[in-house]
Amino acid sequence: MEQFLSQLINGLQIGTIYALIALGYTMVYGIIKLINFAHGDLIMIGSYVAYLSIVHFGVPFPVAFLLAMLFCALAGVLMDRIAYRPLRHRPRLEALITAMGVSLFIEHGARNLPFIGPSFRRFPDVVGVKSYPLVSSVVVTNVQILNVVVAVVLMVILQYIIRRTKIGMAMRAVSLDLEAAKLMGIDVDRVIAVTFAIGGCLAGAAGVLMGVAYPRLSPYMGVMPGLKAFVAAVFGGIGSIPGAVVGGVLMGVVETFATAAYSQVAEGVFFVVLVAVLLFRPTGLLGEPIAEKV
Amino acid sequence: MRFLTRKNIRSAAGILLAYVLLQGLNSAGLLSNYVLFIIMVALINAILTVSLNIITGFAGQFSIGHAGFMAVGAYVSAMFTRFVLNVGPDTPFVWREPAFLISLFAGSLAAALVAYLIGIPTLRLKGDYLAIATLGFNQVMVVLFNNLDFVGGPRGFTGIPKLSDLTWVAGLTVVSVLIMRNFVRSIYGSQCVAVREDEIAAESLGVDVTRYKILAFTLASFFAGTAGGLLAHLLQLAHPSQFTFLKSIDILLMLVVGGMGSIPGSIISALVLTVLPEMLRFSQDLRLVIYPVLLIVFVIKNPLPYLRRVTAQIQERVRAMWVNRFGG
Amino acid sequence: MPLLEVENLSKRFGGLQAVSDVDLTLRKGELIGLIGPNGAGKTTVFNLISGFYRPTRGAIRLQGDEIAGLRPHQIEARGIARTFQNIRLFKDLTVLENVRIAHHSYARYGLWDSIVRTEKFYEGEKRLTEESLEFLSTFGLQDRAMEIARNLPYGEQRRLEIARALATRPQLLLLDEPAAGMNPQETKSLMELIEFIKERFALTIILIEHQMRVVMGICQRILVMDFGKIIARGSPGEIQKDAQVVEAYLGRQARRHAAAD
Repeated sequence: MEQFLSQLINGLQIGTIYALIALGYTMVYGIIKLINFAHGDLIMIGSYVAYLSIVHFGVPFPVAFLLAMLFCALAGVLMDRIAYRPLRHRPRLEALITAMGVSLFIEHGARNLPFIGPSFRRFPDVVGVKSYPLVSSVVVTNVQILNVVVAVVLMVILQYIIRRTKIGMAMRAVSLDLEAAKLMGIDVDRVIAVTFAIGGCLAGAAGVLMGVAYPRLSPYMGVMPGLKAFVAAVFGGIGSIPGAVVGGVLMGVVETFATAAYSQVAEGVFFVVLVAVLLFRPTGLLGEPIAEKV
Repeated sequence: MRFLTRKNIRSAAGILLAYVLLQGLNSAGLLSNYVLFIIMVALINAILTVSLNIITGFAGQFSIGHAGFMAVGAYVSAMFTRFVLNVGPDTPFVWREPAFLISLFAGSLAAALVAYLIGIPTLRLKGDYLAIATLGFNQVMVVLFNNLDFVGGPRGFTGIPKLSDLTWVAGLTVVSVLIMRNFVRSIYGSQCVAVREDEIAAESLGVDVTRYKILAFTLASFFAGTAGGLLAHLLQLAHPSQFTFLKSIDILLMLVVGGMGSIPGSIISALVLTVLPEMLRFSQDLRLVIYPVLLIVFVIKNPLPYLRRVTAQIQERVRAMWVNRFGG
Repeated sequence: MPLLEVENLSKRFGGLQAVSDVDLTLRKGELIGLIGPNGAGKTTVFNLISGFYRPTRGAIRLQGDEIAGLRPHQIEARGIARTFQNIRLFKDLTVLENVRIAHHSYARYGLWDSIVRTEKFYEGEKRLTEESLEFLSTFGLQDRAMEIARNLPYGEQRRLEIARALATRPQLLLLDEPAAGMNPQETKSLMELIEFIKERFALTIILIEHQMRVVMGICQRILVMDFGKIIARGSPGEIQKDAQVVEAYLGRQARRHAAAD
């Protein structure tokens, strides 16, 4: 029972991180039907920005956190402007390939930067780790609490933006029908840029949280979490915001349990389950079944 | 014999000439092992790219798990060579070569079979969901081979005899591409294209959409298996890390740059994109950055149609000069 | 024996009853019209007959054989062809290629033949191309054979779509709003075309159409749908006077006016 509980807590921790990343994927997909393969690398950028500001500029942690989010928001907007906007009206596969190119560029580029470099960096211990006993021998650390709380706060803010602000409404409109939104006078390019910015923000936050929870930084640290979050987003129904959250958390929890039980084949089992689910719900758990008009 | 057209004879002559030239240079010791190796890898990539073209370019099904079938071909053919047929360094030529063919065939067949079994349920998915499923399958294969100890597990399958040489690789590349090309330029290929263009219209015209998706998928995976087998017997090693989704994406990159639905494009793209990074070897780190930039520029600016026009113009110019000089 | 019998055909999508209890009997050689306001369920009926939807309830019989629930390509093999509301040509392929694909069952060579390039393959290809070209000339499209379908003017695209459907040599042809977007001249050509193909190919035709000129002009009898049900059947003359039909299209006011006539 205790094992179960502590693994559940671990799962929630990584799961909320995945959820933040998955949200970025799902929002961009919802609005321009693009799987931004470079999204995972924004995590890495966020981590390093926070790392560098704390270690080299002595910036306090909360400020570093905000800096990371800001930087990644900017990076997201740049990505869109330079690589994806020119391909807006071209077949989606081309944008996909470009996204992969952007991803590789960011990863290898970062590797070549002297202050990032190929070797691992260690994220500074800014949050002194303290454990709080929960139930019998099960502990929860302050890092974990911070993680979940920050993630939830961000998700609530996102929800507010989407449901209660004008820009949020514009985002929803564009994701439903881009052409119609244009005709309604919505500046579609601006809305898309904002979406990338928000997605980038969340990825940056995820990056910092990851740096705190798993302090080993490398230029390629965003690849696997990005992939897993992407799978989680599809699993939950790509384009669906609650789906991304559900998918992300589920992915984190299942992955933690699977690794604890069968560490070797955990990944394989997960993908088998994923494919099985897709066969029964081809548009993901909470996705909208897209009926094609005959 | 209808296939003995002027165009075909010219192509065949060209290929034969290139082969004889390379083989000659090799025998004379003028071709370094490294260059020969790169050429063979490029040809193997050509098989992979053309086969992915069948699935994604012609049948329009988005698959990013192609390397998974490569893995099946690599491992199964290696198992045949090492365990079933017991080919070793002292196996006589007369038996060694046919054995290689049998092993390659077994690997390809295995890959095709796996593709068929997986294709039946997953090809019902569309677009991004199909992509995820194929990605998932790819990763499952990697995990599988990582955990099968009798084929080496995480250390990989070692001790594979070096049976791939230029003749085998070049020969099988030509045969594979020819078969795939003949498939595409037939009513079967046309029906796959119909599936890509508009599944609903195709279905209303009597095209069994599911059957053709599976057909394209299985055929393409057969040759992915061939490529895997050739590679395994070239490197003398098959390791799970060679066949991850990153390799699948590599192949997809080559496909896109070469132009979907263009077989010559796929071949040229595979050759160029295998050789080019090697030419940029002077700076390992820089090449890793230049390569994706080139890719992005290539996709956005789309120089391919322009390039094709320029080459066509050059061809015309040359032909005109030839006719002028030597008559028609 | 009637060519097509539809009994109690119903289709439900979650909470929406798109089609309910549709009955129809079609004899060989008839040309009937299916009309009704937008959203009445007409295309849904087509989709059910051609196999793109499974009926929630009811039976569809073609020459006595039950076909409900079969896949569209199987239904095509039994002799039903259709066109679509939004033209579904293979827009990036040539005109010839569009028809060749429809002729695929005439190739009569196998996979082996195509890979190895046997005589059978070359003969089959020649036959396919020749028959497709000849077919195109029946529709006056032979000069366009090598053009990309997307580049054809709208009226010719429609004609090509109909030609392509007929290349499958069906007994029953379902035409879904073929006159959509056509000017009066084009509409007249279309009506002539429909009558021509009916004669030439011994077809039975169901026509969904909004342009009343077409429907009243060439259909022998008409079925009217509204809200998923058939609300009236009869000859063109009878339908025009039917109060329910008028109301369905034009609302209560018009019904009073019609009653006054």
